[in-house]
Amino acid sequence: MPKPGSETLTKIKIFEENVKVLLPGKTRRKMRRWRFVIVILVLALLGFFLYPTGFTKPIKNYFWRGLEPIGLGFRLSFGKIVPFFKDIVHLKGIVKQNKNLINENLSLQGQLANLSEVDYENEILKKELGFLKTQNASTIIPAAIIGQSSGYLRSLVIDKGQADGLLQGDAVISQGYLVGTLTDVRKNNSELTLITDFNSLVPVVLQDSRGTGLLRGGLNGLAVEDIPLNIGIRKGENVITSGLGGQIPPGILIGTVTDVISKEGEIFQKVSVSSPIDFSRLEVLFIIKKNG
Amino acid sequence: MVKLILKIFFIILIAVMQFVFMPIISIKGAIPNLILIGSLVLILLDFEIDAFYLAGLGGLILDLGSPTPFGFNAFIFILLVFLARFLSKKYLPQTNYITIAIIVFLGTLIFGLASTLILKEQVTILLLVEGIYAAVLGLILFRILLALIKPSQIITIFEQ
Repeated sequence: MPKPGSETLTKIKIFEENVKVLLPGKTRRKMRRWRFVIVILVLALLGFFLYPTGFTKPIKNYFWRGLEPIGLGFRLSFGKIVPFFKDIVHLKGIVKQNKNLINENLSLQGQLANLSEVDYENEILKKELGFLKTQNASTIIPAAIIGQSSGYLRSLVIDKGQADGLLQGDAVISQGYLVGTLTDVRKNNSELTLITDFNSLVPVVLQDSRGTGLLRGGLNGLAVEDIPLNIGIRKGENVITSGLGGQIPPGILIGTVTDVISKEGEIFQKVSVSSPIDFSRLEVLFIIKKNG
Repeated sequence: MVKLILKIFFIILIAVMQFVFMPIISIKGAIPNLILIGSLVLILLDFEIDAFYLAGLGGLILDLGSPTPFGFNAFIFILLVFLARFLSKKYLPQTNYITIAIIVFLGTLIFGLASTLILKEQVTILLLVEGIYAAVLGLILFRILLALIKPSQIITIFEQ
């Protein structure tokens, strides 16, 4: 006759033995985990302190070069499929937008005909006055998007770099509108910071009122800051690059003024700007390289 | 050894997806981090070594292509995995859909705040959108892993 509770005691003994058997393996696993964590942390710390020396720049270049075919493949396959499904959701809005664009296109065609005539007259007058033929002062280089290095920066990685003659600060356009500037130019690829990024600052001019200011991105979209108070801003006027400082040539279209958002008592004016570009759907980009 | 090589290959694949695929499926510019989501879900499912491998190695690979200082991602990911482990052991003994959603949401929020601070960016409402998006992806991953994990992997300690 077994003693009362002896069955439980036997079970506990078996469990303890099992735990003893398991312990060395468990400890080994724990040791392995700690060793791995320590190695990673040492590497991270080392990299963090050596980062200012710029040792990661060539590594980043080769890393993104390796990703280039995969990135381009994804852009050309999923990059086309995903927007298609997003478009289906917004079909009603797209139909309305299409109607507006057709009307705008017709009106612009009329304006274009007039401008061609003015351009022709201008050329004739220049010849009469003995002007030299205007030289194209910039080169345009096409580039494709490989990927995005961080979700917290409004930036993209493109497949052109120093090897293609690009420099930090070069302007990047899409469909004729400024979309950003090059902020980190590596040998074979570059980092492009979009104008919608909070840290992006572009000197601009309001085309009709000639007020100058600085274009900045941010939470509430694009805005031009530091416009002098004596400038009479008109809603709907174009915002173009001023070409003051840096590598960005003058006259690149950015968008139109939608509203004056500065408050009374402020020493400068501030306006919000609307760009027709969908920055989440950029495809082919062009880099404007200033000559000379 | 083959298992380890496969794991490393898988980690590299996830990091590559983070750079080239996730920006395509972003919502209003919010891009959740697959490495972070994966390591948090793994630690909550008690796959400690795998979680640390993914956080450490995946973080270092992300550091190779990120604009943040080298080591930043790896350091933050390991820290968050430790934090999630502590919270799950101390306050959330049962892993379910709610705990996964909460931990992934909070982890993404902390990582987002740290990243915006180090990149000197503006803290925006997008962080919340990203947190919710990451939580949804975390739940999907949790469901997939639950379907894949064999019951024997969970109760090994009692069997031997």
